[in-house]
Amino acid sequence: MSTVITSQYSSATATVLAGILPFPPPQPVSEVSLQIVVPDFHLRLGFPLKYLDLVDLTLDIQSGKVIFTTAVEEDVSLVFTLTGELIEGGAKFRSQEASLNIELAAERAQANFVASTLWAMFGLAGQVRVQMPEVELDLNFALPLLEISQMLQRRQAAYRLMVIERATDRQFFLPEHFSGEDLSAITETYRAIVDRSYIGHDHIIPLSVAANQDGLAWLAEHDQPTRYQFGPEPVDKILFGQSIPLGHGMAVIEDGIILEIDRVRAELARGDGHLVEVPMRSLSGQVRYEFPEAPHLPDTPWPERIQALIDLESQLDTRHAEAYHALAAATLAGLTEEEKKEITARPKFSEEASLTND
Amino acid sequence: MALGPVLPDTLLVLDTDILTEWRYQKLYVRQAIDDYMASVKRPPVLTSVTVFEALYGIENKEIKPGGLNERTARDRLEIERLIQYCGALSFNQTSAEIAAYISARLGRSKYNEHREDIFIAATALAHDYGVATRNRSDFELIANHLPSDHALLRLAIWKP
Repeated sequence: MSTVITSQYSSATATVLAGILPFPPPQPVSEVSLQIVVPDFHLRLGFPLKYLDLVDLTLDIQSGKVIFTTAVEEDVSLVFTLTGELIEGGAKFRSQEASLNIELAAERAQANFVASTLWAMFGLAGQVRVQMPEVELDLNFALPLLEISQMLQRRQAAYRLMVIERATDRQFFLPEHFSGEDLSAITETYRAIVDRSYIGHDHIIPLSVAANQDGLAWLAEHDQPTRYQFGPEPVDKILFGQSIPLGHGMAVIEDGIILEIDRVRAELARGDGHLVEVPMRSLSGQVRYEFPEAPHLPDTPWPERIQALIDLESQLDTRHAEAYHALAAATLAGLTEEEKKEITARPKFSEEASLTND
Repeated sequence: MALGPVLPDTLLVLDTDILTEWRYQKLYVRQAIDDYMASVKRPPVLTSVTVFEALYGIENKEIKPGGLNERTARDRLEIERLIQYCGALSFNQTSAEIAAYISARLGRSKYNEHREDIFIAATALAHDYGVATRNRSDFELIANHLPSDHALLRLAIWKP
């Protein structure tokens, strides 16, 4: 699988639905709390006091910009840049456009999870309200749908890494790009921890059977779908260069079948004791990997604020899918039933244009 | 038979019939796509064969008397947009090799009957994707003509 997920929390422009600030803007003090309200997600995020002393507010009158930088989580900062003009004799600043950057101080799993969750949510929400004392902004971000999909993929990978971190007491730093192989290793380790097993793709397993009477008897018992078990044996997964022990693991194939059975039978029948290579695979292409000794997550693994972001998953999924449904629906919008039928008819060509003989 | 079920993280291409049903907003397709996207966080992709079939309808309309009206012209842009957002897997050399292997063994009449499905299956196999389809039997027939040691053709059967 060649899937690659990249990290891009670069600039997103928002339409300012409402945004008039007092001028000069209020200087942040330690009691100030920044709230982000996302009505479509029924979500109000408040950022804890320990980060508010990191709030920075700068004003560049020449360029007509006000910039808020807010650390919302360890290693994650939101940078809002408001472009606009002074009004009411310079007493207020009217914002006309806003842009958002999310900056990560370190590419840690949790930082990526928070950033990708916020980014995807802002892109899928109709309205985002940013509140500080005397400041209230209503923003509408227009993020490309492809970017939102990428953010949700990165969010999923980051969450799974957070689970692995908490269960194994390790930390991972995510590269900017990671491959399909990285994703598979993350998913398999995550499922081993959370589900204690996972179903993987099969591959052809070469067995060795001696060419003698016992070998022939073995084949007679295995010439139909049969259960095979490999292990238990110690299993380590390699994640971003770190080895993660999962305890003793087993691979179970419930419906293994012997390939090239006529060749195998003939070779076993020679009876000279040589080892015959017997290719075996799962009939349904599935191998179940079981990890009864894999590390566990603690009972309450996340602080409340992170749990609130985790709990957004089904809402994010619903809105994400809805955006694609809308795209699909738009392809036939406004057409009569007859036009729809005409446009969606599959092509039919004469056989002369096809193969000419059997 | 080189046919198997999709696994939890198997990525899917849409058979053309399913794409059409999605464009019609059939509930069962919407629900299947909801479930799929909740699992893998991305939309199902199309194959270049399905792109051909989807655009053919528009092109065929355009060359007829009256051509495209404002609505059909707009919907053409929308289908191009959907293709761009879902992405399309190319019919590459590996796809061609798989399709040739299957087609030669199916024979003329079956080939003619299942040509597009063969190309869709071959593209999915070449890119290690599964196929979301209504038509199990058609793809079963195709999978029956794969070599026994070939990677399985994985099917998600979506039906009303």
